[in-house]
Amino acid sequence: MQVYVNNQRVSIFNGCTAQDAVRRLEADTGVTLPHTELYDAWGNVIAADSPMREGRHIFTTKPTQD
Amino acid sequence: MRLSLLPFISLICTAFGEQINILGVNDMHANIDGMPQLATFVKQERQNDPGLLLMAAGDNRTGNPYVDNGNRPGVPMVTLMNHVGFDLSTFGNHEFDAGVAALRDYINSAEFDFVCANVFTTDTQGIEVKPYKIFERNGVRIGVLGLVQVGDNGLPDAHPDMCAGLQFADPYATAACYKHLRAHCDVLIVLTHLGFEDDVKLAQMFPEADAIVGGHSHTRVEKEHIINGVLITQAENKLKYVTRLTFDVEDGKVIRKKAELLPLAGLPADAATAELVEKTKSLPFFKRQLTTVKRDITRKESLGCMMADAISARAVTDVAIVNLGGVRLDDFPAGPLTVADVYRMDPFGNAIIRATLTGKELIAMIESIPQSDHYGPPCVAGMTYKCEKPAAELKPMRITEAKLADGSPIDPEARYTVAYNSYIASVVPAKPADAGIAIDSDGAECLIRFLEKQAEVDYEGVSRVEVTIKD
Repeated sequence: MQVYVNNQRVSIFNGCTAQDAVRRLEADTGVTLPHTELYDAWGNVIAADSPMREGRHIFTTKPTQD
Repeated sequence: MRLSLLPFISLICTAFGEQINILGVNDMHANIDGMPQLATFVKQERQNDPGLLLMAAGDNRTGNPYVDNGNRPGVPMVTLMNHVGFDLSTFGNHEFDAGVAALRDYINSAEFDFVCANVFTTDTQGIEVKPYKIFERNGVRIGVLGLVQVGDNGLPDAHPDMCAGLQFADPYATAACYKHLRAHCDVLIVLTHLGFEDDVKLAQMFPEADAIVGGHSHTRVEKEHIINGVLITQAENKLKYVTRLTFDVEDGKVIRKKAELLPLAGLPADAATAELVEKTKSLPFFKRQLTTVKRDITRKESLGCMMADAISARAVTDVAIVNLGGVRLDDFPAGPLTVADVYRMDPFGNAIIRATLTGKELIAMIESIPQSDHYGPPCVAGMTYKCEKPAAELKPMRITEAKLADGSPIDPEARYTVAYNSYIASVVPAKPADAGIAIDSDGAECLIRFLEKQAEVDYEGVSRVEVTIKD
């Protein structure tokens, strides 16, 4: 399954959570990301265990302005 | 927190017409410890508006062994929902986790209705699911249409075997069939378990709705989202929040609507509900003996081998891998091993992933785990290996020899089915071509299934890894 974390494409197992996707990006890039809170493309906070689906975009910093 | 109440002022009559109040929660995931606070909040709100409607947008169950692993899966949660006074729920994908027979028991235990327009049952299944329900409050008709997410395989995100006998339709095509409800309702709500992004998509094609009370994506919708005229709400998960929706209705039309996300933390616990929660936790299933441990198990690694065997058996793979950090007990005494012991051994609830890896990918994955896990060489099932491990934890270890359980060497070019948990899948630097798929089971569930089939287990001294410290 392909998802996007901070607009970077990540390959992750089907059934992964938002936190799994962020961890995968960290493992792929070797960069530790700040993820005290995770966001969807609308700027809403999502829980770490938010289920991911193909093509979903999530962010580790708020992507939109209020 | 905006919980100050005006108990002597009725909120249901406005200067212009009627006010309809709805409370929405979603993805409670069996968080029974949050129910006493929810009960307090609902009681307070109903003092102001006895006609208030309380709705759940699915995934009420799954996430707590007290609810999910008893003799009647899910029923303890429904019992608590009855007690708190829910009026309605839709299905989430996890409502199907225990199969049709358990779903029937779950639904039939509810004193409220389930609505879901895109699930179809047969007459013989004894499951009654309405597509929608219309409530009436002070002459105002409130219609609620239910929808559940459906994946690319035509099923909700649950184990396909558990959905056997049920049929599902595309939620958007289904919604289009219910646009006529607008003519029969003054307020039209869609109670969905689709995820926020898909609720936006639904709003774009279903402007007939006044609001979508959503779930599935565990999204904390704090600011007002009105898409195509449709108010979209969601209250994250596990009863951290509740959404209060308010509709001012005049002459059969919604003239004003708003949603507020309100936290439940910090509210006093409702005593009667708390008592019921404690009763739920005292269920005997947790004390159920699964097997007998023949001899004291004195090493974490041996417990890890038992867990790897359990995962391999459940996922039906050639090999299984368990990171040592995922084994939360260091030893286990001879004698009875209960369900509670399993959850002490593996409390994480990490999904089990099944993937097909080449021998080379398998070795690379095992070698890379200690760098992320910091606990040392992982435990395995279906194979053995020898490795050279540096004294410094963070340096990579190197596998010098790896064999299948039958003694044949692992061929770097051959392909093997491998099971491991979602933590490993997410953190290890090694990245196999097959990212794998979750098998709708977690480590604890694998262990329970594995152990309950055996009258006795003897893992003392079991070791499948030979480690040489070499800097």
